[in-house]
Amino acid sequence: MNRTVLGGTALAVLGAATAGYIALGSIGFAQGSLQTPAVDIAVSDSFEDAPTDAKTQAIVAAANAFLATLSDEDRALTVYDLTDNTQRANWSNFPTGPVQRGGVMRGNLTDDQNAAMDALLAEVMSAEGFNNIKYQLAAEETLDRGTSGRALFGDEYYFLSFVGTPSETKPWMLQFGGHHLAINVSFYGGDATFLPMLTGGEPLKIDYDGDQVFITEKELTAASAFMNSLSDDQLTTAIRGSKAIQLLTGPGEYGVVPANEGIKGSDLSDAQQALLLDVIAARLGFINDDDFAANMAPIRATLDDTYFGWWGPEAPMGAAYFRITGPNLILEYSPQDLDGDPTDHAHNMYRDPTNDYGAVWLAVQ
Amino acid sequence: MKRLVILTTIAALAAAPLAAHPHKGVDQQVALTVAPDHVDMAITIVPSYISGGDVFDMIDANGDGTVSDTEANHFANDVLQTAVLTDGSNAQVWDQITASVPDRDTMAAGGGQIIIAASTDAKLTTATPVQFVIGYTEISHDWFVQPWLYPADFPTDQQPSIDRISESEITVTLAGL
Repeated sequence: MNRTVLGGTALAVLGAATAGYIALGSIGFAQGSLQTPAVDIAVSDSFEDAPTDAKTQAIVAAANAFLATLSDEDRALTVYDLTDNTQRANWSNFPTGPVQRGGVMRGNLTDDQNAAMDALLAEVMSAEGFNNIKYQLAAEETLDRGTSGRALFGDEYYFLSFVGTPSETKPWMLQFGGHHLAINVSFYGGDATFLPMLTGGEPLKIDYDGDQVFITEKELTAASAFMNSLSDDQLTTAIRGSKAIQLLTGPGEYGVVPANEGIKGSDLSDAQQALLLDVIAARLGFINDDDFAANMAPIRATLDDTYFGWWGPEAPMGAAYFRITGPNLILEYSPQDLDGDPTDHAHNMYRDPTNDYGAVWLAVQ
Repeated sequence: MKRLVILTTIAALAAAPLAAHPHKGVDQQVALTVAPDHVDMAITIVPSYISGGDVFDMIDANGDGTVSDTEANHFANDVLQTAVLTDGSNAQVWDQITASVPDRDTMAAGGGQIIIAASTDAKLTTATPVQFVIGYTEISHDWFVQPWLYPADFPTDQQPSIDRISESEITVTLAGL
């Protein structure tokens, strides 16, 4: 029941939604499917055991606890073969309907099963990362579900799957996502990458349990602080255009990287480098504390060779696109100006061109 | 002489994120993937839901509601005439050209991507910057040109520098090829 086939045609169709979509009825996109194409990643047929750690053990335990709540049928739908490069890349910024995701869907699970899923996600992510998931799902609930079309909005249309079997010592991958959200975490023993990661969403300014939350405020504040620290000459180098540009490294991108542009890390003072790290850490801070340090380490080590580029106005906060690129990092913040307020809608990517999907680990003989 | 090989459908290119939502404005983007021995170009034009029908009708010269290979070929050639890649004083010739135009309904809904792809076998060197400019303005004057790289071609200490002359013109200066 859960590997939803929601429409069956290749045409992407967005229905009469509001708060993020323009009500247009049925819309066919592009030349066929919006389904993200498979990645071309070599997967070894055998792996040595990699040293594990307490965090991976806790995550695997939570993954197995979740799987134990599922029926045999749903468990089979949740776990894909490690070699499945189609499911590995099966994430998107689009809502379910125009794209078909794999795994089990929250709306088809019981409260206990969803609680076990939440426990797993809370173990994988940091407190901020787990909150971000909750905020994005809450934001999704504010979208008008409409009465026509096949775009499906709501927090029930979020899916969890594994590519490979959860293991303390062998490679596997956890996927969770839906509209505007894709958490892809690849494990090999005690190592984990959170790549590619899509966050952002719409609306970004929500009421959550009585609190006003601006979902991306922390990273935008950090980016503003960094920009404010730059001299006029540095700003001339960092600012690449007067208008926000579109997201570049979204679903379907693999193997090529945008050329570095903007101000280079080696041209920053120590204090400015620290502020740049704050911007990066605001996003990577979604990663659990144990893996956060390991994922930040190569970024810190290559900060001199990392670039920050900015396209768009310096105010209001959230209206500009910015990109940070380095040997181990592509990080984009891409506002979407569809409804008159680009600060309330963003598509944000985090990638590491050297190890997206844990490709390096998968190729190990 | 440019060789035009028109395919009615082509695989998804680097422009996929441009199709993120129905477009209320026109998006025109060039993805320029630079390698030492060739440059691949993918031009993506996403008309708005306001202009999409008119854009389709402009390409559908005989007005029969379908863009034929000949019509797509003609449109692609018009665009490519303005897409000039220069290595020093040498204007490179585009080859392996493909073009794809969605149907009218898709275009009119603001979600259709016109994609024109081409390559050139330029042997790039560090001696001369690579310049690229696109000047097709029939649909919109706004362009965004994005250079892409294969990481293995350009080590960390040999990254090209990108000079944005305007939104439709860039210079890529290579280092250490």
